[in-house]
Amino acid sequence: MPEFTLSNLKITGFRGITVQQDVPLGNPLTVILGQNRNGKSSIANAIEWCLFGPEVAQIKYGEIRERETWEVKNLNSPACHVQCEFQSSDGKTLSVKRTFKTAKTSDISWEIKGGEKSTDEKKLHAFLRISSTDFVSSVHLHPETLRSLIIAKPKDRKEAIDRLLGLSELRDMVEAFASQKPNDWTTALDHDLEVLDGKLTTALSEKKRTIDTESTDLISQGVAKTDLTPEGALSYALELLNELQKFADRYHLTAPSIPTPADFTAIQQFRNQLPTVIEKLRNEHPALADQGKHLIQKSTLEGLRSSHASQLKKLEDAKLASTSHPEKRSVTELKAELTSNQTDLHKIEAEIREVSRNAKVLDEALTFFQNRTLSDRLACPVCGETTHSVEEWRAHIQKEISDKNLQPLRGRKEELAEKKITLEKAIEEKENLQNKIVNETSKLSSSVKNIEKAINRAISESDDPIAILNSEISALSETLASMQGQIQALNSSFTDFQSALLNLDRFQRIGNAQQEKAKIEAINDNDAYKQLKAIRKEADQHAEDEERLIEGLKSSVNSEAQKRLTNVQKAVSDTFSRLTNRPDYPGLKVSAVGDGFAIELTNQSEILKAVPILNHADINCAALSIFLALASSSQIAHRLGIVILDDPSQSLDIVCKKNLCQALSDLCDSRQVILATADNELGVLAKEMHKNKMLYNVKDWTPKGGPVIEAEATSAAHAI
Amino acid sequence: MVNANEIIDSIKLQLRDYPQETRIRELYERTRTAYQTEGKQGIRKELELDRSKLQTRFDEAIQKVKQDTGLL
Repeated sequence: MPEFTLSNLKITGFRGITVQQDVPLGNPLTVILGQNRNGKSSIANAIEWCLFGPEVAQIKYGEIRERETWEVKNLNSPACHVQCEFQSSDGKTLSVKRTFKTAKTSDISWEIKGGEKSTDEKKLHAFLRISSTDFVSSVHLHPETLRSLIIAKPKDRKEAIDRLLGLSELRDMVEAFASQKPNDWTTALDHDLEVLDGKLTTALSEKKRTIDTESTDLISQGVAKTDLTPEGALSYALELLNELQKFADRYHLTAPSIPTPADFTAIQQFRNQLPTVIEKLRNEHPALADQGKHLIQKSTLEGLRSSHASQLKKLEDAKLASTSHPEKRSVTELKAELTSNQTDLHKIEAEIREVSRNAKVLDEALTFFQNRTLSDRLACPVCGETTHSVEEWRAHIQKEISDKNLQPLRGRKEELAEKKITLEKAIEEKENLQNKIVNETSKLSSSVKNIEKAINRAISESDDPIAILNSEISALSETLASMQGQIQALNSSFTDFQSALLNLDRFQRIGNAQQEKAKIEAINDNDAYKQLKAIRKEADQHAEDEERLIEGLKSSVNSEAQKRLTNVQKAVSDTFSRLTNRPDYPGLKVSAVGDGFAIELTNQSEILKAVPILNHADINCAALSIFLALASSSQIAHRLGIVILDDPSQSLDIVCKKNLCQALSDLCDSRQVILATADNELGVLAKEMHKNKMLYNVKDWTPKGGPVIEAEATSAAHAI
Repeated sequence: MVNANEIIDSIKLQLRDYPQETRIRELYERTRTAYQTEGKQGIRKELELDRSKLQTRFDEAIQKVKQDTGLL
């Protein structure tokens, strides 16, 4: 049962109010009169903001968010805060104060006198058992909220009536459950199962195909169809092992040391050891070993033959180069001549030096005589020719020395020097050719030694190594040719062993495919698959539980709604009848239908949908009827015993207004009513209501001073 | 808020067995607690958690089936 009423309100700097205004309340009825834009609604809205703060900006009133762009704090006021004081029926005092910080933030503190004190907003709402949406639908009735009870979209109407009925939480739960779509989830699980089943079917086909293909191959290899079983595979493996043993015995080879497979599962390991066993037999077999040795020897001798022939050719080439050299003299002869040439060269150089020395003495003597006056005729001491001047004489003598003594000597020296170079070059070339012959001869000798080593016997100088090699190679070829038949037979055996290995692989693939096929065919007995089906069933059960719970919640909310509406049905209809005074359809019926509510007009014989018939005033009356009946009922869940009506008389005529005041007068018996109105007629009628009341005239608003709030003397003596 | 008994009573005729009644009662009470602390989101979280647990087991079972039948 609602228990808290409002005893006092202090407002500073909120909306249209600037300086602090104290508004004592506390009477069952408070009437706030004032023309529009004088701050009347600011008083009513201050209570809402004090309790819920910036949250109220998010509340939808029908289709609009009226307060999204609210200027909460008055621009001419330095601070903004609102304080509400509530009294409970059992004597408790609750004080709540909210202080503006920003458009989206504020501070709140609340206190129960002599009791709890807190700044936790949620705790306050929990204490009052009210949310902001509950407040605007069931306490503070805006014209938009009133209209949404009748003409809003079914969903909004449903929400508005649900809140009045105290059923909004149940509705929320239904919606939250339904939004999870349990069936969508189980459908997705089914899809996963279908994909898995599809893969199993495909795998089964693949296994069958493998079995068919491999079986066909084995049959073509001579395996009987009846032997295409694990037992047949085992028997085939044992037979192969037996064949290998027989082969080893026949050629006196080491018997294969490999364990006999005990069952089908051991075949894989057996098969993996076989290549090593077969390779060992091959390596150990004497014929194959001999063949190998012969082939290697033949290949070695062929290589030696080729390299020896090449070495012979190189030696012959070196010898030919030596004999073809244009200088036919031996190196010794050339060296002797070089020595003689050297001696001649030294002699010539000594003569040149001697002549040069003499010429220098003569030149110095001539220089001495150069500027002297001598007789007209000067005779050359070399040739006797006469000259006419010392200069001429000197030139003549120098020319004589040069032409007849030095020039021939120098010419001879050059010849000897050239000859020396030619001799040295010839000596070097001849020595290189000789060295090459020695070198190639040495290599040939090594080649012969290699051949001796390969054929394991000595080769005399008279033997032709190539001929010997040809003979050896020919003998080896004959030996190899003679072994060919036996080798072919052996190779055929080994080919058979290899084929048997491949057949064992086929048996393996068939066996594996059969095992996997059997597993897939018996999938319904597979533990994991059974568990999967059980989980799927569990998911179904889960989804079904959710569906049942949704149905239960829906059914409960509807029956609860119907039950609560039934309790107030008479009050709704009576209030409507009183407000509208319609002779044709005096009654109004609200009933829960499906997920929503139907609002219908009634008379003694008919029930009709209300909205198409009602005019604007009737719609307001219908909405007010529903609200006043529900707001005054004992089933309201919150603890606020207040009803705030803001301009409820729109479109109502004087008769309706009188009836409204009568209804409000009745409401005052169970609720504190705060009526804000700009309607003078309603104001006058309200003043005349026979209730203890407070009257406030809100007027003369100025930007800096805000409104003047004038309390009017009241009396409960008048009656409507 | 109505209690679990009222919910169960309203759907009793559709219930298959007693365990289902117990399960639904438990589910309702659990989700109502979640609603009271986190609103609608709390209910969604609670249901998603239930499904997630089941989905994990389901996915593991699928993997096991694949492993057993050589599909992996």
